[in-house]
Amino acid sequence: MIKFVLMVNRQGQTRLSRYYESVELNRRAALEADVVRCCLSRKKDQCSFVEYKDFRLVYRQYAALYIVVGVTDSENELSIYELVHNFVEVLDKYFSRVSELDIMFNLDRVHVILDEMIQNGHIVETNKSRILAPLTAIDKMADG
Amino acid sequence: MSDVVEKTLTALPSLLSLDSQPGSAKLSSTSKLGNLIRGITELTSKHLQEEEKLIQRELSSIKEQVSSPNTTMRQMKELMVRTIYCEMLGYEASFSYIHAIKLAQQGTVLEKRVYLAVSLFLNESHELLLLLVNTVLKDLQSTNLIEVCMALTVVSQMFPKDMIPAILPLVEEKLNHPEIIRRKAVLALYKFYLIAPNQVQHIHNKFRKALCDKDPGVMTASLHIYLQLIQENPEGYKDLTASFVTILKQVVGGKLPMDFNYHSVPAPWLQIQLLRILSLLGKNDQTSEIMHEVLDESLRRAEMNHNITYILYECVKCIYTIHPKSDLLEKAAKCIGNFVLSPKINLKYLLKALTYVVQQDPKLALQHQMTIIECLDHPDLIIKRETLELLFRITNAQNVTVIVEKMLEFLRISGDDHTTIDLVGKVAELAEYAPDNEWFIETMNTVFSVGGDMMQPDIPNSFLKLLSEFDSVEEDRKLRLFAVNSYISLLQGTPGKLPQRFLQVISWVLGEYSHLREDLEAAVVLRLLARLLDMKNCSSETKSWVLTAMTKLCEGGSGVSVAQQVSETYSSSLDTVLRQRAQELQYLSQDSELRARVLPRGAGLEPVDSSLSFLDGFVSEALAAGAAPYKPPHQRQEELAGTKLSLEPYGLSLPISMSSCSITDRQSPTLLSMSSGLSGDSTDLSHKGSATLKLDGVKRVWGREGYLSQKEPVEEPAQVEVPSPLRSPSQQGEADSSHSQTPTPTPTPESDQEKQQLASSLFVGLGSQSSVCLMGKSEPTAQRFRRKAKGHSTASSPSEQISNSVVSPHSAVDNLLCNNLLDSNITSELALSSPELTSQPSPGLTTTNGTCDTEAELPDSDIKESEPAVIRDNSVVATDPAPHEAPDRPKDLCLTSHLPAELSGLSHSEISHLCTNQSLELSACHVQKEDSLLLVVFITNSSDSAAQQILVQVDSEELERPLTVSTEEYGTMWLAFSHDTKQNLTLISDSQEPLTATLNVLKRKLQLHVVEIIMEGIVACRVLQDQPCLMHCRVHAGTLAVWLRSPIPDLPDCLIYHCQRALQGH
Repeated sequence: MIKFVLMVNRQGQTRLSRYYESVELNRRAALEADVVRCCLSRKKDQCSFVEYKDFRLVYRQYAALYIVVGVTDSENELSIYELVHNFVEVLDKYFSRVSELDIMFNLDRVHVILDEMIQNGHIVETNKSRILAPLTAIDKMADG
Repeated sequence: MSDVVEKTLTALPSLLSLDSQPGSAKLSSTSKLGNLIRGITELTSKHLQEEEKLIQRELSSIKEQVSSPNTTMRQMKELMVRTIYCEMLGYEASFSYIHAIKLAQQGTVLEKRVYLAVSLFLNESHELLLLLVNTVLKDLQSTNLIEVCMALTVVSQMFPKDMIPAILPLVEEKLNHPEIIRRKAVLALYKFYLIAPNQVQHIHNKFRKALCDKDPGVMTASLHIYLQLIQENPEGYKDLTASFVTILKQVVGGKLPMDFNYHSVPAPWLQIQLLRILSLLGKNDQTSEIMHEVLDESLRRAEMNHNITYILYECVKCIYTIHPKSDLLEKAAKCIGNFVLSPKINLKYLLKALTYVVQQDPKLALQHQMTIIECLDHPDLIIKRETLELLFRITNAQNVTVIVEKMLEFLRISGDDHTTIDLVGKVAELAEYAPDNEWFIETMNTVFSVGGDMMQPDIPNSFLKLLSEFDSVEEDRKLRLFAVNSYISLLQGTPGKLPQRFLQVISWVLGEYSHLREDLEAAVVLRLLARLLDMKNCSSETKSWVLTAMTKLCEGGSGVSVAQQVSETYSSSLDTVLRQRAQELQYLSQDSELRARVLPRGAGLEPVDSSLSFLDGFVSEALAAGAAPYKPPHQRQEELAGTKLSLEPYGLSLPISMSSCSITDRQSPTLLSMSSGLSGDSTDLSHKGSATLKLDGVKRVWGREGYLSQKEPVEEPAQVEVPSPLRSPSQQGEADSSHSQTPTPTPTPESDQEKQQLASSLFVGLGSQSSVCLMGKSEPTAQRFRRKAKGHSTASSPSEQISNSVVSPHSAVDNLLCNNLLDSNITSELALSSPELTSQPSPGLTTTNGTCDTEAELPDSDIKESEPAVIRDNSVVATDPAPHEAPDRPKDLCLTSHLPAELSGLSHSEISHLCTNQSLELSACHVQKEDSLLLVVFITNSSDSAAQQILVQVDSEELERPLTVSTEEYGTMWLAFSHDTKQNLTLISDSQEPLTATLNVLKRKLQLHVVEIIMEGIVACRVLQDQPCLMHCRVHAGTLAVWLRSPIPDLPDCLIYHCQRALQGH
């Protein structure tokens, strides 16, 4: 099961966070800082999975942005690793060449996309066009 | 690919000020959100206070605006996004929650996106969620698709449990809507099932309907429900196994629409989900054999495509969970082994899958031993950790010292609490394989000092129990004496550093057994113990253990004075328990007669009346007098919970801690706590984690008879070839010469010597069954890995297969072979349609799924089932899907009866003999099918021995023909084809024109048509009847980069496989 999805830049600033298990607000900042430290300290030649407390972190770096997913022991880390890339590809398709700025200024849209893909800590959709369908429908409405 | 986020932060301020940037329409940097983001970005992480100031300012401004009546809905939406931002940074904005709900209620479709905000702000138990129900109800009835969509999304994320009945009918009704709604409705039902399974009990038929939905998305959504259902009750859904297998087959076969592909892999996550379901269904179930075919297919694909290892992982896991099939197991193990060897670091992680493999069959670890060693030395901790996990599963009495040493090594470098607790538990468990006393005590010492006070409380308990239960007189004396010696020297060092739990263990052991050492005066021990009491960090729990130990020891002479001194100090202690102990000490030290009665020496062995039967009289008296009957704590708690009073915080204090065992008599604390557990029924508290010691089912090296190995003669003749297990890590060097026993893949330079040596010590005892176990009786202990008794039948079958006759059809009937292959059931049917009569390319090809080597193979089991009947009858008919049905009848009577059932109704030509030798007869006939002509080949066994296996191999290379097209035609076709594969192949580099040379080899071997070679780019292509496949090659960095395209989904994969083989063979 997926516990949370985080997008953090190299400076440790959170760009997006989504929790699938309720974590108190005041504990989140500390957790995020810790998690980021954990991932930043990893070298290129180390694998993209880290043991963290009683669960695992799967991370992937895109330029200065890190996407970190916390998963339970029973999850298939390699598949989550690919899921992250799928997520980025969806963002890339929607924003056409996505950048950190796109994510910051369209936080709500990114959340809509993420909610289409993951619900209750489970992967519910991975088909790119289907993920984007509701969002593009709303956008069309806004334009027209 | 990952050309994402290239604009780094350094460019950010300038971007924000320059509004003219392309693509900044969406950014609207003049907005308030823009200001906020800019503000935050400009701050560096050093200025936390500044950030706080900034956010607080922002929040108060938001607060002001949201409550203003003039704020439009549009502005409100913007405000909500800003609030989300603030909350994301960890600043609470609870004032806005109600506004988010209000906005969701009142806003138009566009503003409704803040439904999202609601699901971000609130958790599932938030009371404001109730206010959302009405909105959801309204939106579900809306005619606007997007509104319905959003309502369903929020419902499937969070919904108050009690309100489900209110919206359930509406959600059910949505199951008839277009697929996008249908899918979301199913996900909403999944959520309902998760939070309140009984609320959706009556609509299980709707789940089935969703599973059969024609839209793959809806079907996928329903799998979430089924995974959950099957997890809870695998027995109830066995009837669906075949359906899941079929679905997986279709997915793997590429039957889904293209847009479900991810990097040309068909719906990988769906495959994973299905594999998980199958492994749940197939666990311990003989009927899981229907899965074998599709699992085999998945494996094969994983082998060809290096990018789907994540599916491979799940696949291997599944194969090793379901009822085992030996050749599949082997294939899976081999496949995993190849990937773990990969230099790609993430693939090393597949080691985790190897863990499942060795658990099933530790012998397989032998094949991968050097890989495992390499991973064990890997600088990446997580890889190391997974390796230890793997080693843990293959530990036996012979390799335990090395494995435990490796674990302890890891413990020393990792500072993580969770890892420590987990590993300490494992070491403690493994310590029971101990080769000798010394090692056992030393290992447990390390466990106690490293594990400290974090480890599971069962570990010290079990240890003490083990120590006290020993009763082989000489052996246990030695063990206890060794423990005493080791503890005395520890206490003489710096006991202040030792964890409390360890101190407790030490004081119990010294109190109980220090008399075993004759040269040791009780007073010396007493003084050492008294020193512990003076330590600052000594907890009162530990102190009471120490005092009890002292009570046991205070015997005459100088001991009494020490005891008196101590008891004086503590008899005025504020801690009542300590005070009681001190009083006891005082009285008992003065009255040695009483002491001998209260604390008889060696009473640790006496069984405790755990049923507390001596209290029976008292209890019945009390009951007669009208007392309430005893209720175990959990029952009391349940009753209290029934009255809606939550007692949870108190529930946690219930575990019986060691301090609660009052040790007034000479009893092992373990026994005592166990007895209280039995009467107080605290069983639910123990055995929580894997780290607990489950002593019940485990046969130990340390048994009642003492250290078991001693009973076996240590020198046995067969032992000569077995390397002796390393006695202690320091003696590792001695094993140097013994590594010859374990087969090692490569002759090694000196640096590898060490690894090999390590390998030989790690994998000792895993090899053949003939390897003699040094530990004698300890061998059964290794058996707890539950090695499947895969029987000798499978082991012996390979040798039998060698003698089997392998019939290759192309030798005898080569000219009858044709371009087309109908093979979905090729396993037992040899049906080839003739080229002249087939006007249409066979539709069967798409179902071939790139089965390149189609083997018509009579499975071993079939033959075995057929038993003597067939053997006497001597006729095994390859064409018949069920050869063992062949009844007793003269062999030349009627081969017609062996025609497959589906062909028996069709007209067929006379069966003619093709050739005969003393063991086999070959006959054939034509069957006229509506759309094709089938050639049926009968193979009759005319010898006296049973045919074990008949292998008919039709290689798809045989079906390939060159396709002659021009470069232009090639170009148009290339664009029209949708299925492609890219891969790098080896180049034949020994000629001047490597490209041409390589292509010529391919051309010769695979019947390709080389269209043109232009510069380095070249084109070649070929066909299978009307089914073309185009190939584009170029030389890139010393390899041949091949790009294949075809209209048939699996043809490129299949062809690339052949190219690989052709080039390898060159």
